[in-house]
This record gives sequence, C-alpha cells and structure tokens, in this order.
Amino acid sequence: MYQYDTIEWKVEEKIGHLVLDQPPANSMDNRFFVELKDLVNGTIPGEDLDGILIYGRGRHFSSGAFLDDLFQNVLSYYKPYAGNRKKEVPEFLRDNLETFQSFGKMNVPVISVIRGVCLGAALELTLFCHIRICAEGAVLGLPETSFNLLPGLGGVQNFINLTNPLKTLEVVLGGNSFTPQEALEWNVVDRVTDKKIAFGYAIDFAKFVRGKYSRIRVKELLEEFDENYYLHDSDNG
Amino acid sequence: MSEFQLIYRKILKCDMSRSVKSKLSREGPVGLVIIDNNAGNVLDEPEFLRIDRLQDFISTESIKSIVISGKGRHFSSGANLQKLLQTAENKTLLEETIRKGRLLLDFIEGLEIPVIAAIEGVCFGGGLEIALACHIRICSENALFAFPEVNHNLIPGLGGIGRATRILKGGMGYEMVLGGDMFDAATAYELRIIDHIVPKGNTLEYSVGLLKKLVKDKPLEVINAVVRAIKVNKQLNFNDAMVEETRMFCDLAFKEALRRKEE
Repeated sequence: MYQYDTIEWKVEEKIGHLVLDQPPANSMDNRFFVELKDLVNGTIPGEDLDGILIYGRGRHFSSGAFLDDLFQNVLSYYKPYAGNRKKEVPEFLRDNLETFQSFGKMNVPVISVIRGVCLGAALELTLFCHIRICAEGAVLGLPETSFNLLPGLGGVQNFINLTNPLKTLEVVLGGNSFTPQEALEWNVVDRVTDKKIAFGYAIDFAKFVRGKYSRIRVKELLEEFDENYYLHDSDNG
Repeated sequence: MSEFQLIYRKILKCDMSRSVKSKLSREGPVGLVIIDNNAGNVLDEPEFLRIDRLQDFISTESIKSIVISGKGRHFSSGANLQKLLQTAENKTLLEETIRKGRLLLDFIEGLEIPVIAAIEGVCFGGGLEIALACHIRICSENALFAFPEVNHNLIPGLGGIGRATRILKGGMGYEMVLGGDMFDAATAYELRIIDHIVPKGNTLEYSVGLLKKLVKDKPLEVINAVVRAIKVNKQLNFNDAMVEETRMFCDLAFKEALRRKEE
C-alpha cells in the first residue's frame, strides 16, 4: 500500500493513476510536493507501467500552490541570510521543479485530464505532461502576477514553447483565466472533450498507445486514435 | 528587374537628404518609438535613435512598455545603401557607425519592459534587424520581410544573423540570410518570427491597446520578471531557462512574503 495523504496512487491494467486528492480544491501544499517527490523518485520507478494519468479528485484538477505554505517556506529559507540574501534557488523549489520535470522525461505517455479549475502550479504540472485532455467548462490560467509573483515551475518556458512570446506575455502578465476552447486554439491543450468522457477518452488513449508509444510521435498517435474514437457523446450516430 | 528592386524603387522615390529621425511619444504607460524618415523609413544610420535619449525617455516618463513602429505604410526598408557604401570608404568610420547601431539594438533587446515591433508593409535588412531585437513582433497581413544584404554582397551587420538563427529552428535562419529571399506575413508567422498578424493599418493601435491593458496596475518589478522570463527562453537552453524562471520567482516571492508579514 502507498501511504500518501494528499495523493492517491493506484495502478490498474498497468496504467498508473495519480490523483490529486485533497478535494474540493486539491491545493498543492507542502505535504503534496513532498509526497509527489517521493512518488516520482521512490514509487514510480519500481512500477511496471504503460502510461500515467494525472487528474484531480472531484470536480476540479487543482487550484495550484497553497500560498501560505509557499511564503512561509520562502521566509524561513531566507531568514538566516537576512540583509545578505542568497542568490541560489531554495532547495524545496528546485525539488518541486525537478519533480515536475520528471514527468516530461518519463518514457511512458503521461496524460493529464483537466477538469474544473486548473490554475497556477497545477497548470504548470500539466504543461510537463505529454498530452493534455481538457474537459469542457474547465478554467485554466496562470494568475501568479496578480499576487506579484511569476509562474516559477517552468510555466513560462513551457507556455512559450507551446504558443509564442506574445501569447505568453498576454496570459502571464494579464493573469486572466482562459477557456478550454482558447487553450485548444493556442495549442496549450491537445483535445477538448465533453465533461463526461474526458477521463474515459484519456484512459482509452493510454491503452491504445500501449507498446507503440514514442514521445516524438505522440501527437500523431492521438490523431490515429481519434480516427477510431468519437470525441463527443453527441457525435455518436 | 527583381522584386526587391521594384519595391525599393517604389519606396525610394522620395527625398533622401534628410537624416534618419525617430519620434518619441507616449500613450499612458506605453512609449512609442516611431521611425520617421520619408516613405520607406530608410535608415541613414543604423543608430536610428540615440541610446541616452531612449533611456531618458523611459525613466523620466515612467514608461512601462514600448512599441517600435514606422511612420506611414512601411516599417523600414533598411539601410541607405548609397550612404553606407560612402561611409565604407573610411573603415574606422564604418566600424564606429555599425557599432553604435549594434549597441542600440542590444540596448533595446536588453530592456526589461516589453518591447513590441508593430510592423506594417516593408521590413527589410536593418529594419528586420530592429524588429528582431524587439521581444515581440506583430505585423499587418501585407507585411514583407527579407534580409536582402546578400544581393549586394553584404550580410546583416547589427546582430540580425544571431537573432534570426536563435528564433528560427532547423537552419531556417541561415536560409533566410543566405537566400536573401522575400517572405510574407503568413510565412513569417509559420516560421515563428511573427507572433500575431492583424489587418493592414492596425498594428500600432493593436500593440498599444494590448500593452496598455497588460501593464496597467502592474508593479514594474513584476513586469520586469515576466519579460526576463520570456527572454531567457531564447537565450538559454530549456533546462537553464527553467531554473532561471524559478530563481526570478524566488526573488518576487521573498519580497511578497515580507510585505505580507509586515501587513
């Protein structure tokens, strides 16, 4: 048994399910980041997996980092250096970044299923995934600048590579949330599906690419998969 | 007659005796740099604006973003070739002239407030080098781009080759410089040189409107951090850029944490 409080990890038919498990907001607090690091470095390498799905318990993916924890950490890290502030990145933040980066480097497809709210660090986590399936009605955004912060976990870099510098400036400096349709148009998510089928679609895709997965060909495989799958319930003739 | 020569001739049918001018003005927090030298905005000197003038303008007017554009129908058709070849007779003078131009473009690129090039019509040679030094490029649907230097046995001299090859993946930057061919707005967008295309005549209004909305109410330190985070994407490798982004995040988080503690 995996003993995590903030994450549920289960493996079904060789597909790993990583569930952000602190509903309703599935906030990413200190405990979550510690447990996610342990999961990535301690648990996942020992599993025999064909793919990983990342999603949130309940209606939302996650509201992002828990700011109280973040400010507390930053203050206690810098305290000993008061007046002579160290320039290095605090270890906990470097850890968080490396944990997120690990998902992008995995050699099985990592698919995030974005339902409901997915903001800040939560969106940054999904940007490291190989595929993002977004349910209609989801709310996406990088609101950090509204709190005088910056998306600090690769969000800016991933966003530029998916879109362009202008769109990144608009989204990051503007801080406004955006819709699944906008995300699709900007190449931030790969598919937008009916709320009811987003999860099933992601699982079926993970099963579909079993054994033929390659990171470079992942978008191509998604196209191939679509030819055999209906995106919307209403489209089913 | 080549396409270039036709376009050049059309644009250059004007008085070229005036030296290059650019006009500075502001709209709220947005500073406007308008290249203003006859119909084609030919650059008589690569340094189309004195650095100290730009620096003073930004600091005294509390400018939080900049749009660079060309007056009239074209952004800039690039260097005044005749004048350039005249200057080239004196090697020291030429080197000094080019050096000043490079310094200006490095200064513009190095700014930590957003700099958008609003490009209408022709954007050739030195004009394209100016545009590539900006952080973001928005153009009109009829915009045309080229590095025509090779057609005159020259190369872009203001850092444009380095900037083009950094932005353009897969050797397309070299193709652009070596081929010297002209390409349109849609191609430039596909190549990721251009971030956005708007209808003819709208680039300036669109860019200013967008920046006004984005920088309004934002502290300068946040604007600076966002711009730096965007710039490192092209300057560093992916991994280093991410670590740099996290480091900038830390600086802001520490300041914000202290502020919250004091409240």
